[in-house]
Amino acid sequence: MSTIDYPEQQVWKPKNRTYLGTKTAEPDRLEYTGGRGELFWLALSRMLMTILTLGIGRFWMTTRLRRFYWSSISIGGEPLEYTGRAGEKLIGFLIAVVILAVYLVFTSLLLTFAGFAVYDGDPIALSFLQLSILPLFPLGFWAQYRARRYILARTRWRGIRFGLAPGAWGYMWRALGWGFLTLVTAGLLYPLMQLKLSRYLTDRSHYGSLRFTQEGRLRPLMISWMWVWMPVAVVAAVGLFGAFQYFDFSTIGDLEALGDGDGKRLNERDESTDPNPFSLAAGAIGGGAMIVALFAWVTFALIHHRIFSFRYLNSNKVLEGGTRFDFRIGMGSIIGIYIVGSIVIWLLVGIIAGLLIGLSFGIMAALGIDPRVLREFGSGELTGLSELLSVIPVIVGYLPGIAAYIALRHAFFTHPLLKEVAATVTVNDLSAANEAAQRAHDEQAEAGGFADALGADIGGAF
Amino acid sequence: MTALAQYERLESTGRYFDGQTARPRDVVVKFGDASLIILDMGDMPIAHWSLAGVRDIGDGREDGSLTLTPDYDADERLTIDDPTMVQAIRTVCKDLRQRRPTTPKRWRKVALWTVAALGSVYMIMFHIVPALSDQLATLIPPEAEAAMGEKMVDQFADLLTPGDEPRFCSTPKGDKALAAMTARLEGTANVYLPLTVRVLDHEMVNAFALPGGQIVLFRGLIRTADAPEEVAAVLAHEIGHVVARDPTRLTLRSAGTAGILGLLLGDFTGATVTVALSEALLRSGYQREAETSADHFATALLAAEGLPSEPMAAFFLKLKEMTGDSDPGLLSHLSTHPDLQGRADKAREADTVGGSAFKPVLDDQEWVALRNICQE
Repeated sequence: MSTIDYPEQQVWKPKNRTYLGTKTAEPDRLEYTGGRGELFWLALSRMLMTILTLGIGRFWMTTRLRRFYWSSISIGGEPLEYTGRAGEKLIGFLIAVVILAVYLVFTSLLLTFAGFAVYDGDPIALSFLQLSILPLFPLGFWAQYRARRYILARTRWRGIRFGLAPGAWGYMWRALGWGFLTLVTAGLLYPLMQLKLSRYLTDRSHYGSLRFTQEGRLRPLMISWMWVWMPVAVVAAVGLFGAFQYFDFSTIGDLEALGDGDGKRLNERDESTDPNPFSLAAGAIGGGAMIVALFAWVTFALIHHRIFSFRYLNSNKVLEGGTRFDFRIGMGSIIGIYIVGSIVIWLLVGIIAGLLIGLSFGIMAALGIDPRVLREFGSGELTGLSELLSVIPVIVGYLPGIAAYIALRHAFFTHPLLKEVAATVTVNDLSAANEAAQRAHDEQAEAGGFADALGADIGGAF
Repeated sequence: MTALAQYERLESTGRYFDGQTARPRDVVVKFGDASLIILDMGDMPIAHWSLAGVRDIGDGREDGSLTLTPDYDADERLTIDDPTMVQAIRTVCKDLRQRRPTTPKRWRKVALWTVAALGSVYMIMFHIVPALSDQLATLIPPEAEAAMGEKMVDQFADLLTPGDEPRFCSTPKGDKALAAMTARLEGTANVYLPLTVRVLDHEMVNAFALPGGQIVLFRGLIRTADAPEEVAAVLAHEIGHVVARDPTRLTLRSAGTAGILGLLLGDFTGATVTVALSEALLRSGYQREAETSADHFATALLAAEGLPSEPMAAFFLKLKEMTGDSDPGLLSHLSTHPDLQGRADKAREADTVGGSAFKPVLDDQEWVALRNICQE
């Protein structure tokens, strides 16, 4: 039964049907029914556990939060279901550590050796330590794909599994290639990268036996991106042109002469060669104002592009048979959520952290420690005991503050955002998804472990 | 089961999913004998689910409906919206939200991989990386090493004097004295690249060698020494490190292990790792064997130059005494070695000059100039 081609009021909607006088499902809606309070305590307690276990608890935290979020989202009256386990994530992380340790040692040693051997006086002497990120960069894309595959393989709806076909290496090469193209075109082709990568991911995603397809064209994304790119490009081009046009290279010699400290000569030059010094000042003020305006504009346009591309790309993911979700979340409501959320979070974190830090200094005073030892921390001038004690404010104040911050982010960013997305989405032709047949279990032994080892955001859920 | 008896006649509708396809089936749900019976609309039973095994999969929902699975491994699902039935099931099935049990097999797997991960990190950090660094260190051309070392000296000096501009001491006479001392030892030592010896204006009693033949003596060390031969002994020790390419090996080793530490600590910016490693380098220095062979090299070098190694022993004992009263300024890689007495004994044993006369490293005037090299 397709409902697309008929006017709204003539469509016979299954939700009007009743059995034995009780309420039945309202099939065409996406709902988010999670409770903010429950989410906050869930996140806070798990985050504290994560800190106490020196990070190992994060696998349990992620799992629990995902279970909460997934089951809070129902489509057509049926909740999503997250079947991932914390234990498998821990094992996956350990597997990733073993493999990455080997990989990292060889690449970073070779890089350092190369840095030594071809050293030509560049100031990179100690920065080779930071270079060890470099060989991990491409692996990040690979791990990202694998993590997504794990998440989809552990997601069910109506008892049927989602899935992502293998293809992590292909994703990595494409991400690197499109990224490079974006770089060499000074960002112009960024939307192309977005579309191509989204297409690669979506076209390999499945719900049961049904495949998703990324539809949509480059043009709308490009138009949205132009609001960001054009002003920057124009200003940069004008600036470069101006620099070449008006910069008098013969003045370089004069400038060097000015450096001699001959004040008289400086004055003479000002009067004789600059007929109107005010034009210079006006230019500086005007230029400054222009830069501020440009910055504000670009920030706004970037936010707009992010929201637009989220809406556009996700609304154009179509499940085989025609099921699709129309995302309509407005820019105003997202910005509103972030502003209100930021104010609430920072107020609460500030109060909590202030209290805790006060408490920690109280403890130090009670133990008879001079708070000035803090300044010595890290300077290598401390003996063992005072070094240990100077960590008190960090343990008592900073770490619980972090936990509160993470939990508040879930309660005041993720929660209202999901609610708003769910409230504004329209579900089209959900009944087409009925045709999906069960999908085989995808083991994914590393369970997102690589993405986690490569710098997961601790405390997040997605 | 009184609770069950109470709900004996209760029936409600539900949506059933057979786990094969996503197609919903409208069903009637009622209680049977310790089970949940699911019937199709023609009253034909589809499934019997054990009440003890039924689990709720929708724990975050607050809209009152309930989605069940007969057990965590099953593909079938049943959603019930009827509030009375939801209440009844919640009452009857106490274990509705019981977590999935962790099997002993899974625990074994966790244990196995933990051991494997820790074991491989240990092997890499303490065996593979040192072995590889030792090999690679010999392959680096001396010119490249020298250029790198020059940069590293500045970086280390910066780290040692947080907040202040680091200062290398220099006076015409002091430089000359230092050059004379270096020349005497360098000539015999046969180093594979030219040495650069400098004095850092820092009160720590310390000295270190960096790649490229860079040797830094601290002001505190020169002021602590009572004779030029004591400084010469320390310098000979550092030359021993340079000849053994210890600084280069240690640098390569730090680079290899920094990545792993970043991996485990989740810090890839490398900032904290860099600082931590530099401090470790300054404090604990090289491995015990490297220190022993540098000592050995130093005594042999001194003997070859006809110099006594008794002053070396005296200096070690002085350090031992100073660390006794735990002045934090004395925490240096020379003094944190626990076996200073043993090292002093070995140095004394190696002494070939004894009480007889020898040509001093510096004459009195030169020695005063070196001691005052940091006073402008």
